Amino acid sequence: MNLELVASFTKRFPNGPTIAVDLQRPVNAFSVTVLFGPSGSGKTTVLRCLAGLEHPDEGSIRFGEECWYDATHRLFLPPQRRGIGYLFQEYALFPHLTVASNIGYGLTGLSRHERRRRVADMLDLVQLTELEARYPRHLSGGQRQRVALARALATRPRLLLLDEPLSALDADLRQQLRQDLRRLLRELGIPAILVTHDRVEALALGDHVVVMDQGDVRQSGPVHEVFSRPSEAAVARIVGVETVEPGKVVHITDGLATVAVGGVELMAMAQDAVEGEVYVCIRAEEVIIEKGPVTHTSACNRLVGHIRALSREGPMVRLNLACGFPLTALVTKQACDELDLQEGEQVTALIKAPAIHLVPGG
Amino acid sequence: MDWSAIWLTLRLSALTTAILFVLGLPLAYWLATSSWRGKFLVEAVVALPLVLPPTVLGFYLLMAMGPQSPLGQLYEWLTGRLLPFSFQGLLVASVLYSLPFAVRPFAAAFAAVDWRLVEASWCLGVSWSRTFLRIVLPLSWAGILTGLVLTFAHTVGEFGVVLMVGGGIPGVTRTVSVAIYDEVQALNYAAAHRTALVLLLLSFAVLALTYALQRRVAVL
Repeated sequence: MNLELVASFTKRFPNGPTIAVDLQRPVNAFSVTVLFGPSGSGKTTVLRCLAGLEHPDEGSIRFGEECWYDATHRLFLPPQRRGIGYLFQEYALFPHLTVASNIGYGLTGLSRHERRRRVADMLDLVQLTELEARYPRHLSGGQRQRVALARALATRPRLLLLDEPLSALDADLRQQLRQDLRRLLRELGIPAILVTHDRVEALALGDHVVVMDQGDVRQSGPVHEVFSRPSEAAVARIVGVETVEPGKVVHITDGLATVAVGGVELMAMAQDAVEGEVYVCIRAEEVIIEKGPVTHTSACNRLVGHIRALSREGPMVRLNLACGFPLTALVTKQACDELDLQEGEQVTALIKAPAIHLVPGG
Repeated sequence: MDWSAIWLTLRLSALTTAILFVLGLPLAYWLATSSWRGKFLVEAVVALPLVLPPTVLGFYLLMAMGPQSPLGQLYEWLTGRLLPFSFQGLLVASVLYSLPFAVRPFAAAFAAVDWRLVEASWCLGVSWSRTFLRIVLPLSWAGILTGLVLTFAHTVGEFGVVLMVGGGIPGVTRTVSVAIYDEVQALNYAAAHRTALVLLLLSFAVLALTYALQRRVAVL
């Protein structure tokens, strides 16, 4: 049977934005749907409406055959009866209960014996057995996150809702727990909807992404597709495409489009129904930098310009170039040192035509 | 020493506290969680006894309980007795007069509970009422205790309302504070002092115990 979560609703806030969402996701098998967007885009509100913590104003939410919310029939299923697990941003552990009591808190229908066994299983799953008698205030951030996850999973939810599950942790831990989280979710096979504003998190954890901006869904689809082929300039900026510049398609021949951007012309793969005013989207890591005369290259875009700014970011160096239009390039530290790149220097930027993604402009 | 006055006062205070525990908790929870627009009106009514002279409250209560009023007639029809100048009338007056001393600390304690904990409990399938018992109450008991102690102490120290509504009938409505006043009026200072001292020590002991308990909670 194909079980689906179908949500289509509007939530209004007095003196605030209106949040409108249209979502359809299979929920009979493991898959992580990421609600992605900048803060204030309405992602958490959508999650809260799905959980039943917030009352939408219009529309409906269906989970398989069940109706969770229907404005026209004045139907609203409280969070208690939706069979979900919710992971709060700051975890919301009960401060007056031990780790074991926190995890066993929602297991009201079980016998004592069964409850104890389920708690033991959950402690085992998140590897916290030795901490079962501790109180939340004596736990580290990462341990709290795991207790919260174990507590949400203990009731065997049919759908897991995660609100920024890793944002309260520091960077090192975040990276490690990111992998653990994905593995755990896959092992348990519970479909999940996850809210994040972190691109790396979306890419590492998600199968499907829903990009939100200012209360609206802008694009949705498989994560890699949305991130590499955004449908509009706003989505391109949200998913972190470094260079998004307005241009104009001059002509199209043999599937190749010539686009005027700033003072130069670029060659890009022609895309369906993209003509006239466009936005040119270029990922920084797709730009190759050469110094001195360029000899032979297959890249059909060669842009001569100079380095306006150079900033080191861990193992990578970010270059802001002026080459007829502002272009961002990302090179390794090693390459930067070998070429001895300096601010103000003249370089050539090489970009392959397929690395230039065009979206409708205007 | 006026033991009957002391016993009466303790009985009145304990009953007032018990009634306000039962009535005050839901009212305070509603005040702390409701987003109703007209809530400020209810808040103002609850706080009224803080600013009104006891005589004003006593006067209106007397009018409201009198045999000509609907409430007084209802009570007379139900019990065959009159409310003013009776212990029951005094109890009604005390409950109203001490309302803010119970409800305001309760509401402040509920408002201080992290609402996400309540939502987390709901999402774990636990009902509204069980969430209140297992999460909200345990996390706000220090504030609730404060409210109960303040209510008790405030009722013990009541004077104006008690005199207006109760009239100071020995053994029926004459509380400690009224008894002390009567002794002083009769220039019987030694008796007034004995009773006053008992009241002072009792009040101090109760407050000291409360603060000690709250310290333990804070340290925990």
